[in-house]
Amino acid sequence: MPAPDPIPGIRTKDRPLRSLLLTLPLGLILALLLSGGANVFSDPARRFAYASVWVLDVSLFFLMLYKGRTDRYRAVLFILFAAALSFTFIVHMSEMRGRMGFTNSDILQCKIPFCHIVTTMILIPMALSRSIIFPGSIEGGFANISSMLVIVGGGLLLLGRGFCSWGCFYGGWDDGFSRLRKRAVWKKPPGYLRWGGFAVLLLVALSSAATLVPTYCDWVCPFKAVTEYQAVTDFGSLARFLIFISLFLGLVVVLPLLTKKRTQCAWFCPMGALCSLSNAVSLHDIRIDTERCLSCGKCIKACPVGALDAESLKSGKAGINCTKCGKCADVCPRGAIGYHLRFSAVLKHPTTQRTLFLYAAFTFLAVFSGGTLQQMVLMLLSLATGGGLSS
Amino acid sequence: MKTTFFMRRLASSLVYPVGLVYVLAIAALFPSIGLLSHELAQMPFMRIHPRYSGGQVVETIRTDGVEWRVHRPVFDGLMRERGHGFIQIDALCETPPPSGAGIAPDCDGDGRPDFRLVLPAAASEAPKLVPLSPLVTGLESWADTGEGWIARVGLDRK
Amino acid sequence: MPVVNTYLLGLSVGGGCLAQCGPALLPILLCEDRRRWKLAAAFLTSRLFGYSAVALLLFLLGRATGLAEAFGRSSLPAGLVLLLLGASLVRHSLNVKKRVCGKADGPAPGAAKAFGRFRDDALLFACRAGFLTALGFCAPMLAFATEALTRNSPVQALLSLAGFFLGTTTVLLPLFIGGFACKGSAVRQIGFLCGLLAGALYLFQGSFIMITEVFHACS
Repeated sequence: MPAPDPIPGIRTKDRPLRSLLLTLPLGLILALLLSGGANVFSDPARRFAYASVWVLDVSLFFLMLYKGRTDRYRAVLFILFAAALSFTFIVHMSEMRGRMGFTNSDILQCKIPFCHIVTTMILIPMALSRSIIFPGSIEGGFANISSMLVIVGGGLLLLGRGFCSWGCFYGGWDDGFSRLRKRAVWKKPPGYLRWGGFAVLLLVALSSAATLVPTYCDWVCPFKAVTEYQAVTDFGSLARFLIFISLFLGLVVVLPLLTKKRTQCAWFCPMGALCSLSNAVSLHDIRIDTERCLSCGKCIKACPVGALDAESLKSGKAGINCTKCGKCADVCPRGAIGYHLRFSAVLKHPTTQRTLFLYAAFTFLAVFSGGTLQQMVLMLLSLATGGGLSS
Repeated sequence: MKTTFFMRRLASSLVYPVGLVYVLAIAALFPSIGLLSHELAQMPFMRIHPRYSGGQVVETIRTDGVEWRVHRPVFDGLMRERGHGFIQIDALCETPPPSGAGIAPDCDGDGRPDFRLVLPAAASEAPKLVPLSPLVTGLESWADTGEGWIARVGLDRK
Repeated sequence: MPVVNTYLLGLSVGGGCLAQCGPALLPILLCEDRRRWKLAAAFLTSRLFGYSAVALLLFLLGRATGLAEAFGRSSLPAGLVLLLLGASLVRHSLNVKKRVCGKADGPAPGAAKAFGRFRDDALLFACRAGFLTALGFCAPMLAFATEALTRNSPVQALLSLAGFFLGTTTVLLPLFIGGFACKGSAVRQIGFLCGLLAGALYLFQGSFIMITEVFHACS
């Protein structure tokens, strides 16, 4: 029998004043952190970009508390982040290199930006050869390795696989496409596909360690379609180009449209599989009150990564691949699913536990995306005022 | 391990302050990225593998308006050296380079040059490689950097 | 070449073996909860047999017309082997799919029958995969085999080959250890998906090599 929860719940749903009061501390935190240490009041454009991003973030958080729904408001910021990152990245690369494709010169001079998915391929070589098998820069420069590793490490420790719904700047793509249709065409994809990311993780970790090449990046990463890729100069690079374009169209656009699931994140991403392992030690998780649960299956249908099944409803726990997006809790008609703090009573005070999680996760998402969103606003303002796309 | 009611109550009380600490930790993470990443960069495993960085520069030669940087031969594998590797030569100069500018390094320390590398006449052309030893397998990759060239010459281990 | 030297040579080229042979080994180890030792032994035995077959072939070619080097330079045999291996992996994965992805605790519909040990798909596949991975015709192995067989006595050559085989097998040890340690329905499903993905990978690699070889031959 679990011990009684000592702290009373804080209900915010349909209570505007309470929601506003709880939003204010977050607003203050974001006001301090969104500037990134720069003087954002130096010119009107920067002021506008900063203010608009702050207003967006604070409004979304307020709505999360006031409406009692998590996923739809999280998704707004998450999808905007993905779109903004691709937009600013492509503009940045075009300014730096004059093209989206990188060449031998960029590789030989170690000027390739580092992204978090590479982490899965460098861990074994890092442990055995005490070096990083990636042509990037350790410190300084755009998207350097040590900064990205700090962010990823922090995200994994503090959010577990929640990083996939509250941090990853690629996930917004398939999350966005999965919401375009009202009904799924392919209603029941096979359950075993949720382990696809683990199979990919095994294969790329093995092949990268053996060949000393980050094989996922080199050959199959679908997100090269929206960031950068190796310039097509021969048959090999053409084959790579066709592979990643096909995978982007298939896993990020078409399958999410057909299944209303995040198919790239759930079925193919090795980083998602690695993040799942950190779920085992994460402070927050998703739990189901088995006494209240009707076993209607709405949560199973709604889960975008297939973390819930009949077993989960019986055991009261979401699967190891749960990304803590909150969609299951939003659709549950009995309020039987919610965020939970490890060691505390299951759903005894769900709103308090949810609020604590939202504070952590939303702060991470808002600050991580803040710089990119402000940059995009500046670029669009510059474009609108006839100054081109430079920020 | 059997937990007593008291321990469970203690754990369920402590978890809320820990939850708050998580929020503060996330809030503190981003302003500290500069410091944390700098500390992380000092760790011994935070270096680029020589197969990508080209290895340390062992010799710098200035001739005919070209600064040549010769790196050490790289055979590094995962845990052991591999049978095949390369040697990287960086050439910093203005383009077009001085006509016929070249270098003939000794890779295996036997006192004899193992290959001759000659810079091309124009940018976007590959440097010319003349192997002088059976250990040299060919020009593996090259790039015009805008400030000169980088060339990697394939080598087999003795 | 002393056995120790060839063992160390096998270790130094083992990275390539791990990348090339590891994906074929993973489904063997992960899809089955029982008989893993038997399947691993079948894989290794047929791999050694494959190595010996390649070494013998090169020896005969070398003695006949000195074709061994020319054979080693062409990637066509490697491409063909990869296509066969890929097709074999995909077929095996589809064979085990119902058992692995259906009811995990139910009886295996393809279980070995008392009179037909050789009808056992998993065992046959392990033998086929081991043999085909040895026929990979990777450059270090070819160079080693040519050297060993054209210069040494047959007994010395076989001993050298055994040393090389042990060296490359040592690199695969972590896979064996990890594979034996992991069990459960999730692990079996991951093994099944590894088989499918690895099969697709080999099919792609094989096709890529064949197309490139044909292109070079024509140009």
